[in-house]
Amino acid sequence: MGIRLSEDLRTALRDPASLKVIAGVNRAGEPHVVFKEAISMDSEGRNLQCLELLETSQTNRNLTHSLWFQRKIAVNVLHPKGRSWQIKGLPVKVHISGPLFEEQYIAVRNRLGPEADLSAVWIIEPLEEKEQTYLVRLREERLHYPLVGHLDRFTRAFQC
Amino acid sequence: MSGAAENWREKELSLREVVAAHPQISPFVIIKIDVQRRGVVFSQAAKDAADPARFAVTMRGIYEEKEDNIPNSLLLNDGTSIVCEPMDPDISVCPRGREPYLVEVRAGRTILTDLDQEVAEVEYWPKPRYFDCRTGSGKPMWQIVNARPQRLGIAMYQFCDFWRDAAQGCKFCAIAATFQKNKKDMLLSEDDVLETLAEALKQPGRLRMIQLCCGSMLGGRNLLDDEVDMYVSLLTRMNALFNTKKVLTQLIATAYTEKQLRRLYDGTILSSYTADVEVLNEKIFNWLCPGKAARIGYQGWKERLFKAVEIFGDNHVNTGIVSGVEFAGPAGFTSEEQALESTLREAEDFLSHGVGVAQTIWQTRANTALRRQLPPSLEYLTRLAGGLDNLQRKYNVNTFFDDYRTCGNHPNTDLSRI
Repeated sequence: MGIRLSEDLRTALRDPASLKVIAGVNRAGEPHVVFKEAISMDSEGRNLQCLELLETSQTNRNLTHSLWFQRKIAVNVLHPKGRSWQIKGLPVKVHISGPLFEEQYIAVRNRLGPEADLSAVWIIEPLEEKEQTYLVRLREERLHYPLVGHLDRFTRAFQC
Repeated sequence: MSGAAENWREKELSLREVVAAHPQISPFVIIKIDVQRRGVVFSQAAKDAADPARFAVTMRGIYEEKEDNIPNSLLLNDGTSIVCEPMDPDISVCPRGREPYLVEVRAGRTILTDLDQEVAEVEYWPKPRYFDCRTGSGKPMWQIVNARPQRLGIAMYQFCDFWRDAAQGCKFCAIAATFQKNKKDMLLSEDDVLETLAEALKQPGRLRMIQLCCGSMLGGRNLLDDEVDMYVSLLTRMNALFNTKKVLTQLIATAYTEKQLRRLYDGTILSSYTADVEVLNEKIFNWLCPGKAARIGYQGWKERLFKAVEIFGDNHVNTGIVSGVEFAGPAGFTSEEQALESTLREAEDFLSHGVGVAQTIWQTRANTALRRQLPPSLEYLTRLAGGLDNLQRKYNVNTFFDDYRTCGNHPNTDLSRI
């Protein structure tokens, strides 16, 4: 069952300065992770939309593999102010033709020039969201595992 | 619905069972195989959902012609095309020996169902803009060039000369019956075709490949020279539409001599070549395809395909098979295990020579000589798709010109997506 992403994450996804990466595995289980500028919210604001420019890319293969066999993929979004989030989701549809595909095809070529092509518009349903910003994760670890860490951190000298 | 084989569901694995038995094979591809094997009908609501302004509901092909409000074919959520010939739901008999799937609309979603259970969400093939245009000669362009979601198809010669001689046509083939029924021109006009192509290519992002496929034309100074002349002429003129020497194009034709192949490759934009051997067994080929057997022969067909790889290059030549027709009686197999072993062994010979094998699913069309026969089980056809995919990987043969989007009619090449 899909989830609604937090407003902060949705804002980060809309910010063109945010970095986004997508990770999946192939049929042998080998991981593959790439920067993917063109990850955004879809027109309904519920799912992620990911533009894949290259037909023969490993990402295209891995997303197909995930859709066929219900294997999750991961997306990470890093906002320029330092906050980052991981999204785990499932590809649920790929547009290789039709109105949405053609609209995005024209937009890609307008943005990237006449050499650019578009292979697919992937729709990814988010299933989990987790903020991965260091300070947030640090607070979480301190809360749940207060005694975990190097002992010098706990000495009187350290506290001074 | 009468005409279904008795208790067929109890005698073979269900779709769900086949998917569970083959966790390494895409369930979308298995669904595609079964829909093609059994056929599909549309509820009234599903037909009403096929807005003719948005979806392709008309087509003229060599195997089928239709002008109604029934969608031409289906797309699954992973982009898999199901090239099907929708059957009229009012028919009282079951033409393919098993009850067809039903497309319905429930809660605003268009879905494929079987026994009232949802199988998959589907959408209809989008209509290309040129379908609404007419040529300068006044013909509807959809009658000149057919379209799949990403491919154009041109059938210059709407007949097949093997059907001119009694009992020489391929027994599973509907070309002659389709031609006789629809009273259409036997040969398309080059001008009409070029005008339609030019119009179709105006739609950005719509097309990735142009396929040429029609019946055999046997005449000429040498056997098939007329057919080659026809293609060389058209392809040469098509060159004016493009700014590159080669374009992703596929010619599905009769098996040509080396000289004929070189004319096509050296002198035109053509990039890929297919000659359908139809069945991977010489004895069954001789019975199923008597015209091809008499004029060229099974071994001659293979040798011409092997030569084509030298001319067109690796990954640019393949052969189509009508998978399942190897069971057509009285010449066909009676054991699925024997058929699978034999077919894959012969497929390996083609693939080891660089010739891809493109699997289509035998559809027992009502207007063919084999209409009363029963195609094999879903389990068999799925194992064959998986076996062909494995062989294609083993020999590193990648027929990207005939894949899930440049064609959409071959379960085994769909599997090469991952």
